[in-house]
Amino acid sequence: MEVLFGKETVFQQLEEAYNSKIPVIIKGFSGSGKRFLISYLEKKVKQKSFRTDGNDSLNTSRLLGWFDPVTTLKKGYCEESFIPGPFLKALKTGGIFFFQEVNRAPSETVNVVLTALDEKIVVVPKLGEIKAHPDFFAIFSVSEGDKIGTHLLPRAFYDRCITLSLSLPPSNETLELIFKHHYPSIDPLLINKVTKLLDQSWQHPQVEAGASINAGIQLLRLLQSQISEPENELSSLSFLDIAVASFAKKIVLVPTADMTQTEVVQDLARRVETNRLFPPKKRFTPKDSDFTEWGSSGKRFQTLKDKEEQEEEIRLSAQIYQELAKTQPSYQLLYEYARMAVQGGAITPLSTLSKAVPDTVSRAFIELGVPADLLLYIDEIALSDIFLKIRGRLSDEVKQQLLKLLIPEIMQKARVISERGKHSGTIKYLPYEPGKEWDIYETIERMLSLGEKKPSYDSIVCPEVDKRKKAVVLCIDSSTSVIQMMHRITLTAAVLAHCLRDDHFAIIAFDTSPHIIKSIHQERSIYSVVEDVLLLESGGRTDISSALVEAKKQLAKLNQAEKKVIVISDFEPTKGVEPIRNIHEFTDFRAVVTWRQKLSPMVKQLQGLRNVTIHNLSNSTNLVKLISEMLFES
Amino acid sequence: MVDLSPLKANIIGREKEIEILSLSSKAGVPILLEGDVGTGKTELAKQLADSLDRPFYRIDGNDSLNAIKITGWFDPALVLEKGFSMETFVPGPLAGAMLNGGVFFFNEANRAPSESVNAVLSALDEGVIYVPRLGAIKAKEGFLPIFTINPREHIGTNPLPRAFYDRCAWINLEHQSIDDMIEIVKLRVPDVSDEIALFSCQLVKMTWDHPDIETGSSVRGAIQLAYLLTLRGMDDPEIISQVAESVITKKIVSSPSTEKEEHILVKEVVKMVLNG
Repeated sequence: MEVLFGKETVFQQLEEAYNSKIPVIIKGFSGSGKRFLISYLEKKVKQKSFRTDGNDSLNTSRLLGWFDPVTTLKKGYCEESFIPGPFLKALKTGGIFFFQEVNRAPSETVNVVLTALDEKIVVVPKLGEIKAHPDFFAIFSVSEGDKIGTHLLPRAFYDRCITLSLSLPPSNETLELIFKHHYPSIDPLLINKVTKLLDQSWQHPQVEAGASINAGIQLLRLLQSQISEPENELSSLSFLDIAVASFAKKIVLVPTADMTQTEVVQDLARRVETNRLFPPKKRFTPKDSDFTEWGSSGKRFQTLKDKEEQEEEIRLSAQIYQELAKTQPSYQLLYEYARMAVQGGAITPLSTLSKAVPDTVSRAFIELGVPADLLLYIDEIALSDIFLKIRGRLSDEVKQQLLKLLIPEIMQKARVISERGKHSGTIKYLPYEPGKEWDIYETIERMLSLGEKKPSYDSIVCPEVDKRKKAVVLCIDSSTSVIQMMHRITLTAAVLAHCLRDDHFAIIAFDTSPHIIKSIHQERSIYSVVEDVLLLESGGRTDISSALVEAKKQLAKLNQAEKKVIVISDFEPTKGVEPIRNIHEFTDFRAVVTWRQKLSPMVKQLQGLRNVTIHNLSNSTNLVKLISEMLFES
Repeated sequence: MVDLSPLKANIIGREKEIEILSLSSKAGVPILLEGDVGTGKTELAKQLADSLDRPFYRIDGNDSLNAIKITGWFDPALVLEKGFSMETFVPGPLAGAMLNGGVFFFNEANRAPSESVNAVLSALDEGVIYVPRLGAIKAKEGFLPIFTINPREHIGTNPLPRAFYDRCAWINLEHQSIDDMIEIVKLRVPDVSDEIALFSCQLVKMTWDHPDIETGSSVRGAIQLAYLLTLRGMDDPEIISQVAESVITKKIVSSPSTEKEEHILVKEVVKMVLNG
């Protein structure tokens, strides 16, 4: 049996979970040893694991099982014609189901395993119920700190599992042991150097997230192959060159960094060689990464860790209340909370408080700076609300800190929404082409209904979501009354930016005059678009008509026949010429009306126009539905 | 033992990069080549594959590339006859390279949707992929993945997951030095005079350094320019300017902070180079 190298505690928890058959999520950065832990468990409990890897093409049938087409065509849908997939195999035989990188699979696929985890039963369409073997156990792995190409997992999923975290990096001593164990032929001094470099990559002031153990292993592999070179071909590469190749792309720089990744690694390598090391930084806490990866919805799972988290939140809340009460006697309410906390009574966490009394909390932010630890507990809607109220009075540094928390949240949510919105497109079935995903069920259905027994390429069909290239301009009214809906508006803009990534898309903000945030052919990252929308200043008067003229100019750059404009506004123009006559110029005009007590006269006028559709935007609006309607329905 | 002498003979300059390539291919570490257009990413990868003398599987990233096209698919008519098995599976470039211990060359990986790259992740570190309805495909000895990507900020590229960067050794290809460029131009343009080669390369280099130009031209621009100038001669500055405009204008992008259009910038650059 191999050595566990400092993962003893986590493994013990995993084994306990196995014995009580509670599903486990193992989280950790890439290279933190998730897979190793599972293979260790496999050997220890002498059970086979059935593995599947999450990626976009993993659908339900690939996970559960499928009907063998040959038998199905002969005998119809029955147990005999069914071939179980990895999940069902584990479920039936009592094996370990290992779902690697579960958050890279579509969220819908994950839903299938949920009931099984809970009720130990799976329902297979056209076949019926299958009961789980008592030994069935499921492990899911999730890479931390990687948002690209991942999906949000449903909260119900977290509810059913225990989360084990490998987020805390191993100590330098442990690392050295691991490296020595795997590369016994490498000079211990060199191993020490690689370990130091790995550790230093986390301490460099320009680095946000340092390199993983993988980077260290890769560097050692390259160094080893350099050592084994025959003498006459001795390579001229220095430690520095090889360090850059294996480290540079694996570190994440802080947004304000003025060095490139290569320069940082060169700096690190030189420092390690001359022993001018950076002092240890305060580590990236696991809580922080939980937040950025999973958003507020994923945080409150009911596990052991959860309770600790709650206690930690309350402790921090109490601390800040006390601090506030000390500096500002006027914070009576907070003072009360602090007093209660001291007396051991129940205490309301700041996350709840910021919803109830956002003004008080906002003031606290301005006066005390941002208590970063606490921000993590405030949900994104409350946070954007607070941001809206106080951004004008915040220092640039604090503003950046808040944006850094808010934008990834909004982007991640927008992504999930736009993924769901995609499905509202109509599915067409097209003839088969090599390399295309084909729909086996649809094909078999078709053959069965036509009575065909012999397959031919004509009977095979491929699903394709109908997606025409679109040209859309989004106009955002930034007058005071509208910007109150900031969170919804930012989210709408972000979802649209996602949905329309490959299409012609422009964003114009308008108040007294129009400002282009993104023009039609301009490439802008969604991140910076969201940032700009969040930072929109609310202006004095509203000139809808010149915004529409600008929108027209944008669309004129294209020769598409369909010209769509989406306007988010309260439709109360207070400046400029009468906008109605400009509206005739667009083939499809979508008015997204922010909620008001009285309908504006312009909306009434719009209702009579043939090319106009009116949508209402309020805090209860279903964004998926709204955007699907705006984009996919004509 | 890998013999890289043909690689070294066919590529001008790039000694360090070639050595890292060689180390990575020996250690079996996946390789990621990053560089601007015209820095010779594809050429370098192809030459490496040539000197390795292994089967070569290539795929190019674009918007419609999905996981299935990378790994492989089932032939539908055969499946309906024989069911899902290795027999009815058509290996894609990834599965092909793994099954035959070849080079998997994924060109322009960041022009494919971010999600498609997920399909290659397990092949990179464990040398195995799990094909639904088929099972595990293990990589044979010799399997070597090579990727090329464009720098992040370029139009039409998608961000790649960290898990991907984490698994590859990275080689950054900067633009060639002016001496290397001149050598390349002389190699590619027969009968080119020293004067023309120098002028073409200096002009391209100037497009990298000009403050109003965001993206400059590449050695391709220098080669084309040298070709045309060899035909037209270097006597008339007006003609030189015309030729340069037609070759370079569409290869550069002016920076957003300037009002000047690209062809005006080219004229400026020509004047600057001609006047030293």
